[in-house]
Order: sequence, then C-alpha cells, then structure tokens
Amino acid sequence: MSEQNNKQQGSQGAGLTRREVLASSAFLGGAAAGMLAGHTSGEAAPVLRESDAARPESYIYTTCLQCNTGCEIKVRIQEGVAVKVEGNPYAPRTMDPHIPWTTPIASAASVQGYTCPKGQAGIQTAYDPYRITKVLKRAGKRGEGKWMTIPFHQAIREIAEGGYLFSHVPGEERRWVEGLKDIWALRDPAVASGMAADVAKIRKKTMTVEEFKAKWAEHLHVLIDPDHPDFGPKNNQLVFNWGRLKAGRSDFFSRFWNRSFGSVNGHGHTTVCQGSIYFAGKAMSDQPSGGKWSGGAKSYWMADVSHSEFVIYWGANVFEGNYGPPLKVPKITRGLTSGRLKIAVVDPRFHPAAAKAWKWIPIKPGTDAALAVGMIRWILDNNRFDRRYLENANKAAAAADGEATWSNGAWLVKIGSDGSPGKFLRASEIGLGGDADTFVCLRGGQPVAFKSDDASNVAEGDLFVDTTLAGMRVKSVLQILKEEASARTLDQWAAECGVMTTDLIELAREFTSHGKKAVVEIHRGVSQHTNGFYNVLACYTLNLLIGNLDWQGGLV
Amino acid sequence: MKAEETRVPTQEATTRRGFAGWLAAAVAAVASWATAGTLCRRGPRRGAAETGAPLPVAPGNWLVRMQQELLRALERPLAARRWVMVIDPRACIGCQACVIACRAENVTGPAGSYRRVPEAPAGAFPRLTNVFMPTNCVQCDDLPCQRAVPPGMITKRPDGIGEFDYARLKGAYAEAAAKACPYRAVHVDDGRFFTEGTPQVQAYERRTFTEYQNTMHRNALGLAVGAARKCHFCVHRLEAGVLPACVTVCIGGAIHFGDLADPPSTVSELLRSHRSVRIHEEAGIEPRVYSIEDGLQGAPGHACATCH
Repeated sequence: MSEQNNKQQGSQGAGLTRREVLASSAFLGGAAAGMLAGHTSGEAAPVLRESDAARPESYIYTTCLQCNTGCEIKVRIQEGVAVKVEGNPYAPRTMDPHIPWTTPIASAASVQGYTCPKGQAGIQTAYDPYRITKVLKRAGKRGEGKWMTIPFHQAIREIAEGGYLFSHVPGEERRWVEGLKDIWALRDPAVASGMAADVAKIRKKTMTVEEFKAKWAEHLHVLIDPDHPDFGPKNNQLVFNWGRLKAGRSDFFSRFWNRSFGSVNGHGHTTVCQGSIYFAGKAMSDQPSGGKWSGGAKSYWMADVSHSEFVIYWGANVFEGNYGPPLKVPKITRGLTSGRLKIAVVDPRFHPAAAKAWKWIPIKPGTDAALAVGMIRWILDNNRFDRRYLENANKAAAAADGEATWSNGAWLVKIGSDGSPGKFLRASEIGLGGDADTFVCLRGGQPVAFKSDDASNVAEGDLFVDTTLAGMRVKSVLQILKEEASARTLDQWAAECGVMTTDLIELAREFTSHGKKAVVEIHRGVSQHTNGFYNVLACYTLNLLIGNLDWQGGLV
Repeated sequence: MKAEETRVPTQEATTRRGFAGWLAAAVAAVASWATAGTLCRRGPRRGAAETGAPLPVAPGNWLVRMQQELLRALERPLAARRWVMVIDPRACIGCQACVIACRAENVTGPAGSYRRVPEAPAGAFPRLTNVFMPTNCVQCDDLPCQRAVPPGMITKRPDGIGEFDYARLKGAYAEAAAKACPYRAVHVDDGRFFTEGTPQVQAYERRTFTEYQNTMHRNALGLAVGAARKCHFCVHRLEAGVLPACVTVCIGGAIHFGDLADPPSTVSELLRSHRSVRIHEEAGIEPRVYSIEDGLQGAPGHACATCH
C-alpha cells in the first residue's frame, strides 16, 4: 500500500477486508432491527479488522533465554523478521491463570501473556548489529585490537592442526602454536583407563610414582608431567568453561569434551554464581543413610507467595530477576493491592521491590548471616519460634502433627573436650542399640533413640539440652544454635551488618507474627559470597524456626 | 481483598449486561454512522479457522476478561464505546515492560515514546520510597493539542481516541501539538533509528506497521517521519479484538483497559470500588486515563507533580 493511498483513504476506511465491507453493506439495510435484536441472539459478533497481532500464523511459540528462567513466549514474525515478544498465554508463568491447554491456536492468537523487559529485548539480542557472525582472528599484537575475518573452515583447521598461525604479526613469525591434535595425546582407551586406575593406587599409596613410570614407560609422553601422573594426559589441557548449558547442549559438549577428546576439564559457572545456595539447600535436606549423609535432595526453596502474608526478599531482586518476574510479580502485586501481603527487602540497593516494601534494610554486602543470627537470637530469647514443629525429631512425629517436614533441632550432638560441637550422638554409643543411623534426643530427662525417616515410632525431643550421657557431654542442636546466637548482643549483630537494632527487632517480630505464612526468600545477594554457604544456612534456619517448610504460604 | 475481587471475573459479568441500557446508545450510534461516515461494525462472525472463537471465561484471568469485554464493546457502534485506561500505581513495579512493548508495537524511535514510567522517589535514607507512574496520552475530550493547531489535523474519533493526521501534522504544527500537551505525551518523530551509526540499521526498525489503520514505516519519507505522534490506545489492535500492547505485557497487572460505558466491565468496576484521580483533571480537559489512589505511598500531590 503506497503512502499516497494511505493519506487519501484516511483511517476509518483502511484495513477492512473486502468480505467485511460486503458484510457491512448488507447490514446497512436492517441496521436498526439488527442492532436491537442481534445483541442477545448470539448470532451477531463484531467485525474484526485484520492485524498481525491477531493472526495465528504470525507467531512462533518458543522459550525465552534472555535469562536462565526460560519463560514461555510467543514471538511475532513479520516478513521473516522477529518484531515483538509476547508471553505465551498457555503457560502459567506468563499468564496466571493460563488459558486451557485445549484452546485452539487460532483462538489464542489474539491473547497475549506478559513478559519482562529483559525478555522483550530478545529482539535486540537476536538482531544486535555488533553480533559476531564471522570468525575473528587476531591481526596485530595482543591488545592492539586489530582483527581480521577468516573463513570458518580455515578456523577449524588452524585450531585443530596448529602451526605458525600468527606469522603475519611482527615478532611472532617463528612462534609455533599447538593445535588440538598436539594435546589430543592419549587416544587409546585401554591405556587411559589403566593409567587412571594406577593413579588411584598412587593416591591410596599402594603404588609409587616410580613404579608407575616404569610400568607405563612407553606412554609417558602423553602425560602433562610424568612426575605428576595425577595431572593426567595432555588431553586435559583442553578446558571448556561454559555459561549456561541448557537441554541438549550439555549432552553434546560432554560427549565431545569428556568422552571423545578425553579432557576432564569442563567447568560450569555455577560454582561462582549460586553454588552456595544449592549446597546449603542440599545440606538442609540431607538425610542419613548407612552411617553416611545422602547429599540432600532439594537445592532451592522459594516462598509460596500466592498465599504468603509476609515475605522478606533478602538478596533476592524479585522484580528484576530472581527466577522470573513474570512468575512472581503478579502474585506479589495482587497480594500488595489486596492487603493480603506485606513485604520487606534486605538489600544494599534500593531496587524496585524495595519501593513496595514495608521496610527496606540496606545491609552491608556479605554480612547477611549477622542479621539472620541476630534475628535468631531475638526469636529464641523471646520464644517466638514454633516449639511444636521443632520438637519433632523424626518423620512419625511430624506426621502426627500434620507436618510434612521435621528438623534436627532436638537431636543430640557430642561436645568435644574444648567445648566445640562434634558428631551426632548415635544410640549405640549410650547402649541403646540401633545402627549407624539411629540418633538420640532427650525427652523428660530420658534419652530416646530414633531413626530420622521412621514413619511409625514418634520421637519428640526437648529443644534446649546441655547434659552428660554415659560420660559424654551432649547438647541439642538448638542449644548449640542458641549459644552461638548469644555470643553477641543484638547491638553487636546489628553493627556487624550495618543495620539499626530497632530494624533487626522489628523485622524479627513481623516475621514471627504470621504463623507459617511468613518466609525469608533469598537468592544470590545472600549466596554469592565466599561465606555464602553460611549466609544461606542462617537465612534458611530462620524459616526452620517458624516451621514454614512445605506449608501453604510458606517456604516450598 | 478489594482489588483482588475486582479482578475475578464472574459469570455474572457476562449475563448481567443490562440489555435495556444499550438501547439508547444503539439508537445514538445509528445516527452517528450517518454523520461520522464510519463503516458499520456488525456482521456475521468470521470463520473460526481464521480468528478462532472467543475464549471462555477463565476465573481470575483479568487479561482474558478484559479481552472479552473488548469484543463485547466492539459489537457496539463506535460512538457508544467509551475507552478508558485505569492505572493502578500500587501494582506498577517500574519495570518499563509496557514502554518496550509499546515501542515494539508502534515502532517509535529515539526521539520519543508513547509511554513513560517516571519515578517519584521520596523520603530520606534509609526511609525511602518510590512511586512508579505509567503515563501515556490520556485522550482528553477537550484536547489542548487540538486547540494548538489548525482544524482537522487532530480529530476526536467517535470512540474518544484522539487521532493525529500524520500527513499534515508536521513541522511547526507538530512542535505546537507537542508543546501544548500538559502530559508531555506527544513527541515529534525525527526519523532517527536506535541502530543508526552501527554497522546496519536493523530490519525491525524499518518494518511496516499500522497506526489509525494506516500502514506506514519510518524510513525516509515514511508517513510517521516528521509527524507528531502519541498513544492511540493501540486502536489498530483494539479493532482486531486485541488489547493494547501495554496492557497485555504488564507483569504487575497495573494497566486496565476497557469500556466505561459498559457497567460490568473491569474498568467500570475498578472505578466504582476505588478512589481514583485523573491527572490535570482541574484543567477541565476530561482526560480518559484514571489512576487508582488508594494506599499510594508518599504524598499523592508530590508524586503527581514529579511525573507530569
């Protein structure tokens, strides 16, 4: 349609299809009658104009990867170009509640869910004019910023075969660069597994390095350092550091890197990102098995914010990131506008969620555990914890109270001669029998032996125990926690994290004023520190004190 | 639970529609067709294969509910629709998703946007607060921009949407219209692209798009270039049965759209159950965008003055 046509047509007439115009003309004859009667007949419906936005063939349904959340989206395509990102209305994350999955695509075309601004910027990511689409090779000295493009097949060849790759750079004429073929040194699977087995023997001190070298004399050239066989073959010099390997990509890369090329060096970024939150979560959900700990089954909890009454978003930037603004924001704003929900924000930055918060606590970065332990002290000192929940030492006790979870709060721990806590006391150590997974709590002065996952024999224990059993000094877990929390005054804890003592107390009081419908929700602001594990553990312990785990409105 | 309840659609919402109430509007509408020269909006339902049947009511889904209300309003003549927007600043999280959705939908350039989400910070550290206030053209019934330019360049559609004639509203007229708006909702499109000065201006900025049912682009001599532009409630989407881009994309559910002449509609219900303000209502220009006032943090007067 030309510009001139547009101008002449004006807005009211343009865009109607021929069929619509015909339908309109036919209608003019009986306008008044149709107007009055048609409304309730169910026959009449609005004539809709054409629009890309309402046409099913305009959309491609896919997953947003602008962040790691992976929200469900549909992308509008116009003449082969992606022009707009919409939320997928079939998905509970981008439309809550979502439309029925039986809805025909044609009906869903004109229905759009919501997406966050970062997700919408997927257009700009896909069509970044600075996106690198060709292989760049250094054309000048390192740091000079000079580059040239080379064909893809040449890049593959140079990386694989090596050579005098930078002879065009002054000073590097004679510099030989190794290719992958040079470090793909060990190719015999039998030798690889044989050497690995012997390295394991060296570690166990059942074989010496000299014996190893003698046995594998013919193959020592494949090692990075024959005097340190544990470094492995030169193949390990190929290192792959990835960001996010989603879905099939991780299988592809591990197959090439580990199984085909034979390097052990494939490393994700998660260890420096939120590893602490996962490992603390696993520690929280750890269960004993055969005298050992199972490693924990659950790595991450969040608030059931659809039903919560009070949530502390702690180092969790819930309006801008934190596993999906589309997932959590509607539930929060509905709660805030209806008066059901109150939020607090603990974060050095005054981010948008802080603007909606009843209280914003600008904490000193990395000192989260100090605030959490200060709150723990106040909660314990003021008896604001869920005693009934914490006394449940095993599954049967929890079930009897209608609880889905239980804690080790009442479990007894052996105390060393220097007063520091050691391992959990086993029933067999005080002559009560059982196996390596049989623990002990104290009830009315009497030791009770129990197993954590025993669903039929109820074990409830006293919360604060400091006594001697069979000549051994023992304390309950909560007793140890209380002593640790009491090691400093509230003022001292508050000063440690740069928070006002009154704020610490008010936060703790509010948190313990909503039964099980209060939550401390944390994320990387708490975990992404060298002391992140302990920050996370302290914050999760707050949740444990009110027993909100797996409760509606609690931590799920 | 006030706001939550208002968002829960009920079967009542569709059946309660008072038939008698439509009569007056319908009769008035027949007259308006003759005068406004609009094509009628009634006719047989289009084939399901083309657009699909309207969705059933999904309890709690305010977007589906508002879309059904939209389709209901489209059954009525143009002049009988009273489009309004109801903003709930309490639910706005300042994420700017609506601004980006609007830019993608209406292809606006660096010179301006139809939408802004200004912030009104208040208080002193650490007792800070912040109010986010989404703003756009409020489709005044007495348009200050219209008074600033020769007749015919800016018209008021029968459904209340202020329409700019891009072919004529250019140069000094465009500047005058922009300057006259007390909401700073009008900008002059200078034809620049965001990806200008990069290796290549990207195709999504050069694409054709539809406004006021005109197809246009922003390349040299494009209809929009040099013209004054502003929000039009995504009228090209409305008439295709799709809610405005800012409404559907809003994560917080802060932007509501609908027909104030339809008593059971979401917007009508919200305005009945909440105190609301219209910014610059005192100027007597009858803006069609309402802001829910209940429980706003900070002093409302301060917040409004900051953003407008």
